[in-house]
Formats: sequence, structure tokens, C-alpha cells
Amino acid sequence: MSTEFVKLVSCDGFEYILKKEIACVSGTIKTMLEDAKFAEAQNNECHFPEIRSDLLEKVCDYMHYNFTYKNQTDVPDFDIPPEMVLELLVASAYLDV
Amino acid sequence: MSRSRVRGPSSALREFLRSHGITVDGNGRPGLSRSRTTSTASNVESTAEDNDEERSEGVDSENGTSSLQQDNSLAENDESSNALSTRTRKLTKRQLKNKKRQEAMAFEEQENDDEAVQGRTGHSYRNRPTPGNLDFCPKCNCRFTVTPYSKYSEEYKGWLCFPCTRDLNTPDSKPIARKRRALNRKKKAAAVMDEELNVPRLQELCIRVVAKYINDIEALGDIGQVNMDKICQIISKNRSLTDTTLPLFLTAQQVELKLYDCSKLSNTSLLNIAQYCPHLTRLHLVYCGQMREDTLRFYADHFTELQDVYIGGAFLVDAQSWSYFFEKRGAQLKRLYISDTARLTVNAVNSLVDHCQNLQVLSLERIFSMNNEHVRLLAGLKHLTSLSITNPGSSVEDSSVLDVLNQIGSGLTTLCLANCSLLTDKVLLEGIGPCCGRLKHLDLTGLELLTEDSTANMFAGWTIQTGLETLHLCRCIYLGDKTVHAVLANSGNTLRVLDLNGLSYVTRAALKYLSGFKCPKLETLDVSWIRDMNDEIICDFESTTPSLKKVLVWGDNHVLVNSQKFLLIGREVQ
Repeated sequence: MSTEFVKLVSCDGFEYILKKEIACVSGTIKTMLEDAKFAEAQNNECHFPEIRSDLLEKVCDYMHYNFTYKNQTDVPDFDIPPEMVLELLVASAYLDV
Repeated sequence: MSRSRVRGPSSALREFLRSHGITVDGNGRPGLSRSRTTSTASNVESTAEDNDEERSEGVDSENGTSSLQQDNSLAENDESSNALSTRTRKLTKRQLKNKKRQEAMAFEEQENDDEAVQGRTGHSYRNRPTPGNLDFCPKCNCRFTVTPYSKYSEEYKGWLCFPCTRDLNTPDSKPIARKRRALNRKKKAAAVMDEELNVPRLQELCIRVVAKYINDIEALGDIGQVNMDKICQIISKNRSLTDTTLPLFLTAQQVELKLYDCSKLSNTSLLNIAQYCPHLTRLHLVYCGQMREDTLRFYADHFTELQDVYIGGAFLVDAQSWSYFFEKRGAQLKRLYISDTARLTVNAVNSLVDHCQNLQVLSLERIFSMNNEHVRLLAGLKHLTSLSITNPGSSVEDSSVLDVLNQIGSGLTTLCLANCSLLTDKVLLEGIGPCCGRLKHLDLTGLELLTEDSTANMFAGWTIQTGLETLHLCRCIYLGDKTVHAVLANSGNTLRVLDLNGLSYVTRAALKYLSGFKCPKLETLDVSWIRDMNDEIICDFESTTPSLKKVLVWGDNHVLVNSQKFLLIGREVQ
């Protein structure tokens, strides 16, 4: 796999493939991939055994949203369904996103 | 002439013609009369007697109006009318009304003939369609009442109902686009003011949603203290912190609790805080107006580990309870902030000084009973590093402040005397200058009695260990250039925050000097309401002071251009 893309794996086995610069919107992922000594950096893969697939998917959506609208003024709202908001808060706190 | 209701003499011939719906105007030219034909036709349909009467009535009225005329034809009319009038003098009400209607119609019709092309056509109920004025809109096919305001549409060949008229008239794109643009501009201005220019973080977005649904949430789960605090801030701002939502933020192991708006929390809830979280070391309660004496006493008994207390707005708590609290917990208190109560008496302050000997930070804001006596007592707090006396209601004068500064001034790193408006230069020259050598943060907001020369002298002669980091001279209105020079000479290299709000006597020269000084650490600069501030100086700041992050220019109407290097707040947006 080229170094442009990284793979994020959730606890239930779902894999999400994103561009590296978009994934690095998340501070945690950025740190994981920066240091060459980490296995994640060597394989371009990050595993998250505590994060469910639907939450990870929403985080990926957010990272794309953030990357697209960075430094723009007329930004549309990012929709978060209230059922997952608390768990998403925990996940986003962990991922520093 | 043709509009007046006065009719000239008319012959029997004219009368005859009129009864057949043919009018003849003053020039002898025959005219059309659609409406007349209908009405006269209807007349024809009515009884013959009526017709006779109408005709005679017409004659009668004409005679009435023409009685002023001195004409030969009049005589002949008189004869004929006299003959008729004897028969028909008596009229029923209905006939009177009919006659009036006919006359009105004739008048109207003449008017319409003259002004057929002008806009007033069809604006009376007269020319409206069907009886009862109900019609079907040709566009949307709804049944509606035609009014003088309904528009006639050429396109649809009919009267339009109100909604269709509205759609037809208003050009849709313009007002909506204008509204959206205004809304966007407002949003952008608000964003700049709140300094949220980038896309908000996912945590922020989640917290906003949580705050919206806070009443439906049963437990917050393991989200960390920082996020919990953020949620608390947001729901406090929304005024959603109530007795029901409070338990979400109380856990048994908590050591810190900050509630930013307790106005909706009842006394019992406030009491329960101590029961749910007994191990608190830091407790900040803002606007806790419902707190009563028993709650404070309960806190005194139960919070065994409390070190940092902020109680704002507990105006119902009496002085004895404060004394009790200080007696019980004073020894362990390190930081104490009390605001917005008039019940801190001299006895209570005495108790504070006696028992809270380990106090490092003391802030007494808006204590309306505060006066010289209170302040003098504070000199007893030997370990104080930060003292703040803000907005005291009564008189706090130089003498008491000097007493305090003389005794503990050398240990102070933060001193705030904002809005103690009776203080004069003496405090600076005999207090701060000689005594406060370790000061890093100084706030002299609102001290209007300070004069330029004395302040400049004080700063010039002040030996400070490291130099001030923050200096607020907001609204010390008589300070000017000399002060600015002296301040920079003293602490220019260490200043991070400089507040010159309202110093309108500061001139361009001084501002240029400020930008030319190249303060290496200056991050926030407030130059609001300084008339001489302009775009050129902003440019200078951009190039000479790279550390600058925020500049406030409220009321500076010569500052027009936005800055790319730092945040410029308070411009008059054009």
C-alpha cells in the first residue's frame, strides 16, 4: 500500500482506508504515524480495539469535513445523531479530534 | 365640468333616450354606457310603475339642480315636470336608494370614461366581478373574496387571490439573497468576536449536541473531566443547569467542580453537592443566589479537603455563617474568591484574616459593604501573593490601601484595584512604587483620579524584579503619552498584555513609539477609544511586533482595514 493512504481498523473488524493527511486531522493518529519506531507507522495501519465501527466511520466523516472546510467561512453544519453523541464524544476525546 | 354632479337642463328627448340607455354628453355626442344598459335593462324588467317613477324622479332631480338656471327650456321642463310630479312625488326608500345608485353609477362611469387608461381603473367595488365579490383565482383555482387590493393579472385574465398576488409581485431572489448575505455577515462578525474562525473540533460539536439534549441524558459516562467541564460551561450558558441536570456532573470521586450558573439550583441542590462530592478540593459556584446560611455551614462541616473556593452571588448568606465557614475551613484554604454580597461585615473579614492565614489568593469583588476598615484588616494576611479588590460599593480610600501595601505589598505578584474610584496618585507613588517590587500583574482599571505626571513618575522610578506581564490602565482617562513612554521603559520587554482602553489623550506619536519599541512578548493590545489610532499604525504593529495575536480597536474609527497577521476586533465594519 502506498504511503499516501492509511488503514483504520475498528473493534469489529471494519477497515477504513483514508488519505494520510486527512487521517492526521486526529492528533492521536498523527502521533501514531509520525514516529517511525511504532508498528503503526511501519504498516500504515492503526487498530482501535475500543472503538466501534459506526463511531469510527463518523470520525472519518468528520475528518473529511474538517479537511474540506478548513479556513473557510461559509461552512455547513456537521450532523451528529443524538443516539451516538456521548460515545462519539468519548471516541473523539481519545482520538484528539 | 363633466365631473360635477350638477346637471344642466335636459329636454324630454334626452330623458327618453336615457331611459333606453343612450346617454348624450354635454357636447351632444352619444356615449356608451354598458353598466347603464344593464341597470336600465334591469329597470325595464321591473314594474312599469317603477319605471315611470324613475323617469319622473330623474326629471325631478334634474329639475332640482336646474332650478338655478334661467333658461327658456326651463319653463317647458317645469310644465312637463309639474304634470308628472303630482303623480310621483312620493318615493319609497328603495327607490331613493336605486336613484342614488344610478347617479353614482353615472358619475363613476363618466369618471371611468375619462380615466380609463389610468391606474385607478377597477379599484372600486363597482367594477368588481360577480355579486358578493367572490371569485376563483385563475392561477391556483381557489375561492376568494375580491377586494380593492387584489391585482388583475393580464397573463391569467382574471383577479388573483392574495397569495398569488404576493408571488407575482415580490421578486423572489432579491430579499432571500439579501437576508442570507446579512445573516452571513452577522455570523462572520460573531465568529470573529468569539474567535472561532476555524472548523470546530469534533469534541466541541459533540458537546454542543449533548448540551442541546441535556434533559434527556441520564448519565454522562466516562468522558473525562475536561469534557465534563466543557459541557457544564455550555449548559450553564444555555441556562439548562437545573436540579435535574445537576446530578450528571456530580460523581463521588470528583475533586473539582465548577458550576458556571447556579441561578436555577435550589438551596437543597446546593446542599446535595456536598453530600455527593465530599472530596472536593476546588469548588467554584457562580451566581448561587439561592444559597442560604445552612448550606454554607454544611459546606464548612463536610468539605474537609477544600482549598480553592469561589462563591459568587450568595447574597442571602449572613455574616455569621461566613465567620463560621472561615473558622472551620480557614486553615486549609489557599484561594478564596467572594463576590456580589453585601453581608461581609467587618467581623466576617476579621474572622477571615484570623483563620485563613495560609491564604495565597484573595479576591473580593463587588462587596458592597466594603470600606476602609475591611481593607485595613487585610494587611494581616501575610502569605498573600494575589490581592484583588474590585468594585467596592462604599469608600475605599488611599490610606487603607497604603496600609495594606506597606505591610504585604512586597509579596504580591498580582494586584488588582479595579474601579476603586476614590484612589489617587498617592497609592502609586507611596504604595505600589516603593513596596511592590515583585508585581507581575497590575490592574488599575477605572481609577480616574490618576494623573499623567505622577503615573509616569511612578513607572519611571519603579524598581521591579522582572517587569510587568499584564497591565490594565483601562479608562484611567487622564493618562497619556508620558505614561506610555514610562511604562515601556519600565516593562516593555516583559509585557504580554497591555490595556490602554479609553486613554484618548494618547497621541499618534506615542502609538508610533509603542510600535517602534518592538515589545518582544506583547500578545494582546487594547487600544480602543484612542482617537489617533489608524491603519498606518496597525501596519507598523504588523511589521514590528510579530508576537502580537490580538488587537482591540473598539471605537477607533480611523481603523478600517483588517489585518492578516493578527486578530483585529472592534473595527467599524462597513
